Amino acid sequence: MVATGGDVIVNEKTNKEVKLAAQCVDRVAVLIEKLYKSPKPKQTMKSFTDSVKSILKEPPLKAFLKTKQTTIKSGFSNNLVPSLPPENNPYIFRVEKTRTLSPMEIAQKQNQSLMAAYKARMNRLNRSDFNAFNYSLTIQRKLAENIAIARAQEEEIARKMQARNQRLEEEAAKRFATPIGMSKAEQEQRQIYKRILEYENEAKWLKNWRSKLEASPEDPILISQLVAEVLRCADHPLTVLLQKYQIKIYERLYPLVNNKHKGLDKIKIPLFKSEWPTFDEVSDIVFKRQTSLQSPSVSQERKSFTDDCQQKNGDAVDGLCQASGAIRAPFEGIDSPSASLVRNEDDWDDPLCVRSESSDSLKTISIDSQYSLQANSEEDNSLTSPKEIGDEKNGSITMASSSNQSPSKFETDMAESKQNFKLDLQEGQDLASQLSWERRQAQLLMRQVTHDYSSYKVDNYDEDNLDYLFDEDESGENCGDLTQQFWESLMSHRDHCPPAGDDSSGQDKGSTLGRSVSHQLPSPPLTFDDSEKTCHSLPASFDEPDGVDAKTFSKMHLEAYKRHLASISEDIHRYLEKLLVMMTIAYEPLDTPVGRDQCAVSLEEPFFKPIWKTLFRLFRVVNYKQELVLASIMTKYSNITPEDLKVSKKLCLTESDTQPYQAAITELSHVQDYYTMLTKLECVVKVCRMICECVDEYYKKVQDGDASKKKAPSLGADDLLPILSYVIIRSGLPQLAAECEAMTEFIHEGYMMGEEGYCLTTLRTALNFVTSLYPTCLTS
Amino acid sequence: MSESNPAPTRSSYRVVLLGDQGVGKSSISLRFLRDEFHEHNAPTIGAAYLTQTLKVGDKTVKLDLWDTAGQERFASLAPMYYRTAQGAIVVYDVCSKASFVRARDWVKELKTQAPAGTIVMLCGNKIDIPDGREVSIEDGVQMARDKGLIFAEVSAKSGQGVKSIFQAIAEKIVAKDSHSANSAPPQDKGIRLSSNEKASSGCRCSSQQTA
Repeated sequence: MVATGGDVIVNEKTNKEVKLAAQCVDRVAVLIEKLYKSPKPKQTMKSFTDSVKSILKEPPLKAFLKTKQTTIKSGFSNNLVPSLPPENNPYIFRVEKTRTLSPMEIAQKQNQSLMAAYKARMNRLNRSDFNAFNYSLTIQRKLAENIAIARAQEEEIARKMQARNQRLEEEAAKRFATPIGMSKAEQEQRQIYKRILEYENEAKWLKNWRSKLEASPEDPILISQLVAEVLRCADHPLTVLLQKYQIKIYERLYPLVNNKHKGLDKIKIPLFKSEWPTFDEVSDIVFKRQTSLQSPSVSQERKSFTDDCQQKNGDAVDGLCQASGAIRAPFEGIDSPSASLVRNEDDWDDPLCVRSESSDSLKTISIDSQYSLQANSEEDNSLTSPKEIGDEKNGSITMASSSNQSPSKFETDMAESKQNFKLDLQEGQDLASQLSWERRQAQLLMRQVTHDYSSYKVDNYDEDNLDYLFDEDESGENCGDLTQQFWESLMSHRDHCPPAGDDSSGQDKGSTLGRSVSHQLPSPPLTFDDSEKTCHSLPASFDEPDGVDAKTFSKMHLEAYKRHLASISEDIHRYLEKLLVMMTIAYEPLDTPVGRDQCAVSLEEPFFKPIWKTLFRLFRVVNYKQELVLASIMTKYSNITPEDLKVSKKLCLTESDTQPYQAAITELSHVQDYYTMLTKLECVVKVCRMICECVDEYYKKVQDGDASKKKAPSLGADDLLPILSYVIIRSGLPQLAAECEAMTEFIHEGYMMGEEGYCLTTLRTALNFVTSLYPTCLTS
Repeated sequence: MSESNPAPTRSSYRVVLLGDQGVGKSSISLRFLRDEFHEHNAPTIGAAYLTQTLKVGDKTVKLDLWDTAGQERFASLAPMYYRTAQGAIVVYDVCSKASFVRARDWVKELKTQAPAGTIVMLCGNKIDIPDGREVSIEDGVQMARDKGLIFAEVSAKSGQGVKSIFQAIAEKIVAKDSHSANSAPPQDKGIRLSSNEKASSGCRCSSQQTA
């Protein structure tokens, strides 16, 4: 095609070329179709098709994300934990298995090309041609030969592999002296060790590190390089182990902190006055630390109190199980395939309770349960919620709702209501069968919940328990399935026969209760007044405001979150420890105090980096109230000066051009950019140093003008603490509370000895001091 | 966790300085630092945190000196500092009766709140001021004897007695530490600390059983 001055000249050559191109496109189209539709008998064909498909369909995902997706099973289908954010490590790579094609595959390939050639030739030849028959024979013989040779080769290789495996096994055995009587953990370690050896056969350069390490086993740089190198290999057994642990932690964290964005995002500077917590709400925060520090017995008491509550909650859940069959209303609420019921206790614990609208009815059920749990643990008004709902349903039961009912009374009440309900059930014949079926399902569900709950209750569960929690075993899946069935049948049932009048009213009231409460919950400054209002707005039959105290309510939520955090933190400690042990097993020279120490430091970053954001959110949820307080203070005193905090005159740096201690304020705001504890700690130390530098610089400047002026005063804690408080307020970072908690939790005591320890302690002290300013902040 | 990480060298001890504002807590530790080993440990965060090594017998020990804020409004936060310390020096100004009264409160608080076994020392400062004295040496000795404390009077300005107080507290701590190290299996530093933790973990155990 030649274009000259706008004219298009089409000559014969152009025609030819266009035709050729069209043929090419057709060919490709046919090929693609073949690739998709052919049954893919050949190995190579299959892998090729797969790769084509994957190129066409999905963006290249990191392999570990894929494995991650498979680990999440159907049990939580409605509560999907999204995959961990991919690590943005440009250096990450996996060892290309240098494995060439196996002999069998080569043979298949050869055969394939033979067949292709044969076909081509046959096309050209006349079918009846005598040669065609000959060709056919030849090709058959050749194909058979190829396969036979390949098989022999394959067997040979298998033998070799077996021998190698045996050798590795022996090596591993040498490392772990006694194969008999090994604990499960040790056996696992042995397996991993073997895999590492295997891996190093593929990745030979890793072996060089061993000799390097042997030469200088205590070189910190070498150790951190080694760790980085090992973890850079995305399929190294140690990396796989690390990722396994990360995913475990992440899967526990995610359901806890998912949906917490809204609540936490509300905390910002300036904070609207309407968001400021009332003094009553946060009095425990403002004075908490001192009291718990000064009298450990108090906290101990508190602990045993919560234990009691837990126990009672457990009882209440059992009670609910029994009652649930008869009480239809609360379970009517399940109109989403709530596989998340298994994790329902998370919902109960939710202090921020910001949830998507779609799960409104789920709220109903969980809030209902909360009500009864709450009432029961309070030991007065026990049974209120189930009883009231029961009232709604059959309108015939009247029970004395005296406060301070004893647990035994609770039992008898429960039995009584059960009987009454049974009578009712007989009356409503068409409903009865449906109800009993539902009861069974509900019981199953509740048992599952109770079970989960009790296993969460145990603070120190062992490895087996953990496995149980993470591996969705059959019962978990069953439960999910049942829920699904339950839901479906419920829907169909509803379609067929709309619920009876009083039934639906009960349901409505139940959900009103649930909704109004759950809508109250998201706003953290939930005062007691608010809750009373809520209760007054309820139908008259719900006369239970004295039993449900919003404050105790949110306190229990918080306690539950604290327990979650404590056990997750414990897990993190344990996983880090396990990784470290595995590391020292894999690289023996590391097994020295210095080596282990350095190794732990190097492991920290890869471990925390992917999960930090999620983990931090949980810390923030737990420290939510203090953050609110800090945010209020930071809003109120956004223009505070060192003088206001009674910093001694010579350290107020009033004559500087910029805001005093600006450098330290800037530095402190960087603390949130780090994702490992040690870098954060470093940052805190830098802040303290920066304060001193600010003083020095200020006086240097002043001296420049007038040499006779006094030199920089030395800075004691008398001044450091108020200045740091000033810096904190000016930084406008209420989440510092959570940062400090996280650092205190995860930084090993060994690092807390020196300057780092002092700086962190001072920062925490200053934070607590700032928090304690809240009453003044409210009144002035 | 603890056994895998290096046990911090046992010869490192934490000593907090407590006392009213302006009694010269940081001056004492600064004097101690400056007088003894000039080449060591340039202070990085003013006089708030200092380290100094000294010899106790044939051992070299490192003292971490933690200054605290003396103002009344920070008083309730002091436990965060002394909770993990092996020694505490309560400083008062011999020229200020009020600071002596305050010191008495500190000592009382330490006796009830600090981990058992924390070495507490009472120290009067500013003896270089010739005729400002409001607290006699006898008052100090008397209080120290009543409460079973080590006692000394120093002058941060002239340096008189400064070294000896740190020497004394270091020796006491080392003696205490080696004693408890002999009786108890070696652990991470801070026997007091671990005994403190034992109490809390014990309660956790019992709660587990009830759960």
